[in-house]
Amino acid sequence: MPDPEPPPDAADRAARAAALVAARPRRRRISPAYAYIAPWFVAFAVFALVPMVMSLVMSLTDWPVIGSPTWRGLGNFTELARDQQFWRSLWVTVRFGVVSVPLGMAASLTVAMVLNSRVRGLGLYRTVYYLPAVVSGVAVGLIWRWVLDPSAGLVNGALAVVGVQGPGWLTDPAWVLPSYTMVALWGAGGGMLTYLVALNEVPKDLGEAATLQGAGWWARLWFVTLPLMRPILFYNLVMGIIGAFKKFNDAYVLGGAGGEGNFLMLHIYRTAFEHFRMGYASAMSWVFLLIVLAVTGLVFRFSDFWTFSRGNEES
Amino acid sequence: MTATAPATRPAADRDRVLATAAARRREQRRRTWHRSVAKHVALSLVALSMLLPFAWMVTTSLKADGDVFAIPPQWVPTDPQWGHYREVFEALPFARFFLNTALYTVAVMAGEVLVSIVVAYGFARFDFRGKKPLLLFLLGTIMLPGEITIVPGYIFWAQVGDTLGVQLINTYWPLVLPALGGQAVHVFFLFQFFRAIPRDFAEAAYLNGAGWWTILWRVFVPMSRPAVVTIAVTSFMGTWNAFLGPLIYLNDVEKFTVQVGLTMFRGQFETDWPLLMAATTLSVIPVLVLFFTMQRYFVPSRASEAVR
Repeated sequence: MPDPEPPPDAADRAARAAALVAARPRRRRISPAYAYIAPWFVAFAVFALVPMVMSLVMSLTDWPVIGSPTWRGLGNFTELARDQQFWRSLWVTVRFGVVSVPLGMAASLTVAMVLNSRVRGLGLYRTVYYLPAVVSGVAVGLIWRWVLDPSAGLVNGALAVVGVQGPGWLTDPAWVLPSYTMVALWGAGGGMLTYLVALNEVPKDLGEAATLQGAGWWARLWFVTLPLMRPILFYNLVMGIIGAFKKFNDAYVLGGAGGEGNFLMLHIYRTAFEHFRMGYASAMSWVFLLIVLAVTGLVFRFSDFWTFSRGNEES
Repeated sequence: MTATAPATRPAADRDRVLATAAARRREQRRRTWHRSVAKHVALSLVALSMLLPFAWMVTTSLKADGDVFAIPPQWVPTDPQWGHYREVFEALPFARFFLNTALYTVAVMAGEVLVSIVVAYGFARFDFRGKKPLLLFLLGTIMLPGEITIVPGYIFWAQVGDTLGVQLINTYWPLVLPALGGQAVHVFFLFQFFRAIPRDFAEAAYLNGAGWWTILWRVFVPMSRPAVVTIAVTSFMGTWNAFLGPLIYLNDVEKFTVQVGLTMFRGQFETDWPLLMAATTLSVIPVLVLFFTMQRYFVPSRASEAVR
């Protein structure tokens, strides 16, 4: 930064230098930093913690939005334990998470590896693959509802041309999960970019060393590339499963026969804002939180993702 | 190899060796060429499957009602119905939705970006007691989906409004105010850029009489402009595409955002696919334009997928 005019006199400079020295090595009693970081923590407390506590209280009541809540004790939670619909919605969510997330990861990792081998037109491919990821979930839902339309949709239209009678994608319960998987694969381009970055960080000499020792393409992938990418693979898997739990926008539009499209978040929304059972929905939100915390705990335990930020801080 | 072949070798022999080497090289080149063609064919097929649904959306929006159900599907409408795009604005207050969404998006974006900058600076520039646990806490919240607090948030705003005697549900306050806390992912992203700025810069400015606040806006922000643009773009996209929050907090049609308006379209014009696709096309134009113009600022951040 250039000297501002008027330049501070020598005494001021010395005083400031002294303050700087005093501020740097030791930790000051009250650092100005607290004022800078306060907004986030205050907002988190007010807009996340307080509501969560309020909803914990609310989860012990019946509250149909209008009027005042009536005490119910643990009634919501015991009802939840026996609620068929709730368990079904959890089952739908988990199934989507463990089936389509690994599939999407494998697909986007494959594409990323092909792209990583110095292809001409890389930028163009990257742009196109990323495109579906920037469009809103509502738009994705609307587009795919129409693409998957049983009678006039693009997919069944194409199948009809080759003489195959396509299924009723979203109207036949058996085909709902495959439909959602297809939509998820379409939007997997965002994940592909993270793999592309990670692949770039894999040191080239490691692969070359393996090749010199007679490793083929598969052996290189299995013993060199994938182990090095383990942190990001694991992280993406966990985030993908959490993503299934918060899935809402496209599912709200796509639906799905037989409750097969009734993802957890959608079920919570319906309980709260269609059936107006706020207390019950609060209990569900808390179960949701506990699930996510458990999954997050797994990451903390088994992944070296966090060493990155910790290592940063020591430097 | 030919280079090491003894010079005493008969000429015919040498020629044969050279010829096989050339043949091998040709074969090699042919094989890599085949490989690269196969690669491009595969990549193009994937690209095509990414683009087809978009093309299907646009082409449907221009079809006359009679052509919508034609089999095999028509790609180029015989008589493009541009009027559908006008009808969208007549069927629902779509212009209003766009205005609402634009204001909402700009407000949230401004709040998130400015506050995230300040918070990231606090973490990056200063050493203070409790820095490490606080930063880890902030990082940890990135993994928690905001959807968890949807029902609790609604209860909170309803109760606060009740207590204060003001109407907060069916306003934009619950959607905009939380942005004033910044966004953990953005904070972390900026934090990494800010820490890379040598402390000498800041300290030189400090010695020359600048305050910490001035240093933030005159040194740190200008030196991290790409990072700031990146979070601004990310924030814009996220807010423009936000759906669940606006869906639960806004009740009046004239307050709706584009996304909420779209689902209303679906409810009312379920079978009118051309009109519905015209509305969808209009709704994605802003994000697509932003994506194409700001492409180099799109950073595949692992963490950014965790929010919203």
